[in-house]
Amino acid sequence: MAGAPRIRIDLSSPVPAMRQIADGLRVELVEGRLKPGSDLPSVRRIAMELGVHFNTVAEAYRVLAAEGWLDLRHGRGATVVERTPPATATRNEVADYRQRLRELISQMRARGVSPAKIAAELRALAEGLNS
Amino acid sequence: MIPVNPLVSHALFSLVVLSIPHLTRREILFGVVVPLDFRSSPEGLRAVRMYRSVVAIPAIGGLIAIALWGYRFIPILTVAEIATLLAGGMAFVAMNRKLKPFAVQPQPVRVLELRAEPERLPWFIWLGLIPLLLLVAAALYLNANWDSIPPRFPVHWGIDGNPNRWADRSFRGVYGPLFFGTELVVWFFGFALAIWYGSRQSEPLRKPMVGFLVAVQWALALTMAGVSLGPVIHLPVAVIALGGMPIILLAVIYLVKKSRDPRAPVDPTPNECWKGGMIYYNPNDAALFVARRDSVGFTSNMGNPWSWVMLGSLPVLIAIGFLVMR
Repeated sequence: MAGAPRIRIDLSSPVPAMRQIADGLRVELVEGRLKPGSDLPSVRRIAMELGVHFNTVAEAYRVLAAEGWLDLRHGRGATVVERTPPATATRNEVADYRQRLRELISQMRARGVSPAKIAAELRALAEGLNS
Repeated sequence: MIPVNPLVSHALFSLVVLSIPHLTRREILFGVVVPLDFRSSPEGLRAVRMYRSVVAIPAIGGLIAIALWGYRFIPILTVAEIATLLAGGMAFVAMNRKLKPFAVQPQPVRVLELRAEPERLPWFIWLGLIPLLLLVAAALYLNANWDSIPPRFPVHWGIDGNPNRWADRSFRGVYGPLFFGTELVVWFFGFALAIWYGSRQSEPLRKPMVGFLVAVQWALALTMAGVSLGPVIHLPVAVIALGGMPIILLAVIYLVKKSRDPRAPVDPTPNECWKGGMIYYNPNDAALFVARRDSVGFTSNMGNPWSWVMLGSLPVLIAIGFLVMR
């Protein structure tokens, strides 16, 4: 996938900004636009540019560090690290993802997106992932 | 005799207050983000007309009072300017409330390119350190010509051009204005750095604002150096008082021009965080400074405690400066 890594948040969305930032960064990490060794902008810079509190960004960084994506060093910002693939997701986790997918697909269907289009989108997205 | 200086001073001051609705870009009127063509709508025109009418009363009243009772113009001028400013402030807040129903919500979607490289300071920010050299040079010149300094000399003048504060040929009296100037120049240098690092990179007025602050540093240093050197090199009071004005005027014109650029993105701050269209309070926004909505330049995010530190430090420095000069 081409293009510089970027994140997008919607301040009017009911989804908390912290989750939007963590989700946005995870997409860039999973799709390989943020590669191991690359440095991320400081918490201060991201918070200022997105118009959110420092703690919101710091928390998103901590979530991703806990997942093994980032190395956080005090005063040095965040660095993307080589991530050891985790053990296979548990049945409960898979059930949770399935539920979230169902909700999302229902939203798409409700907005008039055809099942074929949804399937194509999912396939394209899944094939775009390189980890 | 009609006192010309205070009349001109009050007229200019009133013109500035009257022009406030026209200083902002077209999409912002009385601190409210409105549709592009709102200014020419009946509601927009009526709001500007009402604002002008309210400000015109103390503005014209002040001019008449100064012309009639010229011999007491200093208290009259002070009262007239405070009344004009208050009228302007109150009319602005009233119009802000009136226009809120027409407000356009700013774009809630924010996109950020993830680049970790630190941003470089604009080269011209370093020009703000040259005024310090100017003040040091003035101090060295005074030291070398100590015997030429009169035993008593003026350091402050009234609007009529007559001196109203004097200093003695002492360490404090001679170097006090230079110390005060140094304090202010250093503060404005810190302010320029705070603007650069404390505002969004996407804010188009960021660079022009830093340039404006560098111009303020130059104007302050020239004025304070003029006050100090005045008794030795016999500078006319008009040169001392107005020497830095052309720099400030040019900087203000440049800033206004830049702030009205229609290609620049519209202010993204949430409407509900603006109090009266003048005060920005958003504890959830990490930005220390955001673009003003009431005129040109930047304003502090009062929801950020560092804003209070920054703003509180200026009166403290001024008080120290006055104590030193006493």
